[in-house]
Amino acid sequence: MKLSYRLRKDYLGILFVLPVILGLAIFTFIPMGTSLINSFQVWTDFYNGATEFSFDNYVKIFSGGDSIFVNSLLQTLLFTALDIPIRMTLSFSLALFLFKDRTGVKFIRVLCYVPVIIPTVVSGVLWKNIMNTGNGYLNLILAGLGMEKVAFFSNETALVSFLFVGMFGIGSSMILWISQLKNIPKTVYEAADIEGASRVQSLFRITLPLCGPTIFYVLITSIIGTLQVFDLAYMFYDSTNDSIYFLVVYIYHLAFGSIGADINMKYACALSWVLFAMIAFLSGLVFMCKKWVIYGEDYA
Amino acid sequence: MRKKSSALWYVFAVILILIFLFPFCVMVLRSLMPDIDVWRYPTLLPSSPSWENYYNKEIMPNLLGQFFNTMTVAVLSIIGTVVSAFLCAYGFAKVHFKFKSIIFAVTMASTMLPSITMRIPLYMIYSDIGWTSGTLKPLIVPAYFGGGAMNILLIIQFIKGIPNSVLESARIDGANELVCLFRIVLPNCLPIATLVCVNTFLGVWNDYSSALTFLADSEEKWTLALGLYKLTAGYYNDDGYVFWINRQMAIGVMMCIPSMVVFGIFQKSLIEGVAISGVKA
Repeated sequence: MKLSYRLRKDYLGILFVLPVILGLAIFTFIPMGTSLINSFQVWTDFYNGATEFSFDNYVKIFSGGDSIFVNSLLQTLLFTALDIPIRMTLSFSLALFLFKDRTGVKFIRVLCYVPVIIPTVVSGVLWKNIMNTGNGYLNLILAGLGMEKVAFFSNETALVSFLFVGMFGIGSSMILWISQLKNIPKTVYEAADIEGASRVQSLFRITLPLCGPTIFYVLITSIIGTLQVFDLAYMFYDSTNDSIYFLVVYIYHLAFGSIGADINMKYACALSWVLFAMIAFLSGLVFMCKKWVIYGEDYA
Repeated sequence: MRKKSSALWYVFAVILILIFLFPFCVMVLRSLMPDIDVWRYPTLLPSSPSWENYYNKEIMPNLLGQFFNTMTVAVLSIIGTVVSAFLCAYGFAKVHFKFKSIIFAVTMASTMLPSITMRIPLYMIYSDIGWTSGTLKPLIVPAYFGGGAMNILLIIQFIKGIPNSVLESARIDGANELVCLFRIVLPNCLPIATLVCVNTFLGVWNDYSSALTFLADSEEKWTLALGLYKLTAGYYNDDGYVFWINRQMAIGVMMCIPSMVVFGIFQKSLIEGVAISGVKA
């Protein structure tokens, strides 16, 4: 009797979460399996692929024979290494600046969040125009200040320009920081104040350590997200600025075609698995450091 | 001293606002420029501001069709997301069953997988069943299968706030799980349901990479985001090749309006939602 009740419960629970189980199977695991199998095959064309098992794609990747891949891998890693620390520092500073309640502070927070809600395509079109070499607003301002015009999307400058544009999206991490900062009990600061701690000391000894959970979360999601940088990069890449030819853009071109790149879906699958391994490895590294993160229960 | 630092703070705040609103202001200025301004140099302000780019006859018919497509995707995805995410979240939050923690962990972990790894084989699969031309299904159907791990997580956090004792007493009175879900949990979850709807709408409205992958071949099914993207390459008409940044910016401003309105109305819960998914994940 008891057993049949338990069975019925299991059955019921599974029934409730059935959509997500099916969803994972159909839209995650089957595609991943297909992708893995395809990555071990050689591409001929879309309708008649060779089905023999072969390491060719991976040999091509790891032998370094594909110079476009090597370049895009290096640029992606460089971009990730620059973008994450800058973005975290800026958004954290912004949060420190905006987290205390004052008249109008909520309004300012919302305004800082506005660039996040502008649709990606719109901001792509917009920034391409603002940073246009001919009569973009930035260059007009530079000219007004008596400086020389800058080609913001040439091979040398594109990576920096891309970093700059991305910084307008720090509003979303700022929200996370603010809610974490509000969770820190005021008494901790009062105690530090009585002990004679300076502002800088309490920032580095109290605020930052107690923001551990958010640092951890932002770091993990940024690693996963930044290594896959695509949307804006796809719009800004124009075949002259290889410095922003990031890995996913290259994979996308290989899979779905572009001017000047041959379609090779199976090689693209292999590359996407290499990217997956890289993301898993790096986030695994961060997870191993998790034991340094202090969670709320430990100090409250 | 205090007054001085406060004044300094407001000076910084104004500078910040100017920086963050600068791109948006440029967009509005550009959209108000008549065609002759586009190639004039230098063009900081429109020579004679006008709204004509907002109802340009060449672009309007396409735009209406794309708006209709976008709304179709949005409405159908919202329904799918809310229904299936609620079922799953309720199952995870309030029903005990075998393998629950494993299924939950896998669901959450799946958000970490790079989407490009799935996108290529999904394109192959969709193209086999004819979903890569003339249909919006690739953008809609996935919403009916769980509605995204983040939405499930948000709803779980909310449902957990409903005391178990309320559900237990309902069960003792003979209510089954479906009655519990629809009569007790759902009515209490309207705020989070609204948040999920708004999030889904913004997601659909902003999404261009999956539209680019799955809809690019069938122009009559383009969404607004994809349409605007395709327009950035310029287009051909009777006069030959044209590329009007002022018209693109007008579309951009129009595309921002729904996002801004929705965000303006729901900003409090949206911002809390971002915070919850960050703190609890």
